[in-house]
Amino acid sequence: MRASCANRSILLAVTADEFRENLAQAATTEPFEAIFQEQWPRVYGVLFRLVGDRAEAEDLALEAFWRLYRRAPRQGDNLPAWLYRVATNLGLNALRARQRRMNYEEQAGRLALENDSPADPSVEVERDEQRRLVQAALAEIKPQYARLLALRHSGLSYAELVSVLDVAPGSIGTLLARAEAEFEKRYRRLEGGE
Amino acid sequence: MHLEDGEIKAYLDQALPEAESEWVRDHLGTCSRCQLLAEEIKARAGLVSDRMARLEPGDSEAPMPVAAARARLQESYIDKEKIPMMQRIFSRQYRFAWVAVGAIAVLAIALLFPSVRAVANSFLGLFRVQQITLVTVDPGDLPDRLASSRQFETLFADQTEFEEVGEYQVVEGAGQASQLAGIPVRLPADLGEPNELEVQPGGKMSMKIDLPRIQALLEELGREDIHLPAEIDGAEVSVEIPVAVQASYGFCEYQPGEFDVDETIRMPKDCTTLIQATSPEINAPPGLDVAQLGQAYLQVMGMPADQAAEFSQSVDWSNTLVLPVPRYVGSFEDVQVDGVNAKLIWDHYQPNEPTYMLVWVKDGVVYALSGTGDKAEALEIANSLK
Repeated sequence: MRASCANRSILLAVTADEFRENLAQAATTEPFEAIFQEQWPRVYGVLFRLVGDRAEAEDLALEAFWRLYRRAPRQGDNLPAWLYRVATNLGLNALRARQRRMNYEEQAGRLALENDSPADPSVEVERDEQRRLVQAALAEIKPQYARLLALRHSGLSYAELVSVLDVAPGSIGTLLARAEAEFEKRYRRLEGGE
Repeated sequence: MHLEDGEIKAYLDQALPEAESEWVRDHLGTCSRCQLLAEEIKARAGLVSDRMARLEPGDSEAPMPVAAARARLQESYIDKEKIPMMQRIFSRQYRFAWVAVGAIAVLAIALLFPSVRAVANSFLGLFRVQQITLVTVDPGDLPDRLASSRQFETLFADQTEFEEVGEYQVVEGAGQASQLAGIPVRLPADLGEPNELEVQPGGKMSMKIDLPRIQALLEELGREDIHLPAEIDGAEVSVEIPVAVQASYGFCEYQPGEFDVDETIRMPKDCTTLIQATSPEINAPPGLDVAQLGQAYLQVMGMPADQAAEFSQSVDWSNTLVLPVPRYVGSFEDVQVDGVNAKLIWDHYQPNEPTYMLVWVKDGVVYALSGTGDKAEALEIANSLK
């Protein structure tokens, strides 16, 4: 009574275990595995840029793949494009949530205290400071601009950006120019200590 | 005529088709204004590239290898099924799981949609949901053990048939959904247009009950105290799960809305879904002691024998969907929706945000609305169905 076709066998599952097994089988066939193999490092890279923490970026990347895994396939899907949309949504949510928290802490005077403590001269601390500034600027600009910059600087081509963002092929240049202008404005303001 | 920012940007990024690129290059050679703009864009791009490069993961920040990542995905996500109960409860797989599998098992063929009152003058009894009753149970681990038992696997092995009815489809509007599902699909006016309207396939399952096997299984599990009516043996039971329509609102699948240059992408935090379908149907031979079957089912779900017996006698199993709600999963209350009784269930899996499921039956259609919010919000949405 078990059908050979993976999708159908979901329905034919009898026990909970078998049910799960079949579900896994149906979903783990191509192209999910291929996409995972190909895109894991790059999806991680995009998320790392947004959250700046290895463990968090790995978790968010896994979360994005999990959502792809669970997703019912549809006709005409561009799965990698969908994956990057989901991943950047997750990353931007995390980035903005952290920024809100940091703003709150700053207002509460906690960061000021930290800054008063003797400076750690290590390169890493300085690098972290610089990163935080860039991320703060990304958190402040429009989410679609931050998404665009994170993806572009993770190595996505114009053509890939067109499919991820689902925009007209000719509009990426315009979007990028605007995103960079907005980023520069925010970044300079933050750098100036405002 | 002068060049646009976007043209220059794409040109600098070498992302223009050759002919166009050539044209831009020529123009820049003759137009000082555009040249100035190009310098500006180039300088800005340099700054952005430099700053963005700071975010690049360093050597010590590389991700775990792809094989390790795939293993972790399996272990921490796929095998754990990190799906909140409310989202699962009426999902395509889970709906079927409820019937075919479940916390519940054979007894419960009769099961969630327990059963089957004998109709004296017909060969088959017919069950249709007209009302919903919830009971709190403390199931312990019996349902799980039952479902994962090796014997359970063979319980209907020889005798069970499944057939999927209809197919998954994303539809455009309530009209098309109504046509495919065979019910007048109603949507909550309060929520505007759904992000997605889907038609979920139904299924038919029929099986022949093997009483000795079930008894042996219960014995193995140490539950000889659960008695099943003798006439259940060899009974042929069929369950029909109807095609259902699911409308989703909000951030259900991390599916961003339209990307528009000057519009912020939508990132709603919540997800509201409304599922509607006609009642599942269960056919079984007349003459079954339905109350006893119901009692057994409730006992498996963790209800003490005397309480299960009492409850079972008080329910009209032919038209009542009895949903056992494990105490650790949720709590519930009675409310009124659309002029009928409804059950509002709170999901305890989501401690930070109140998550509800509201179920009711109106004019032969079973509705399940789930989302986050308080009681007033849930009722307002439910009462706005058009």
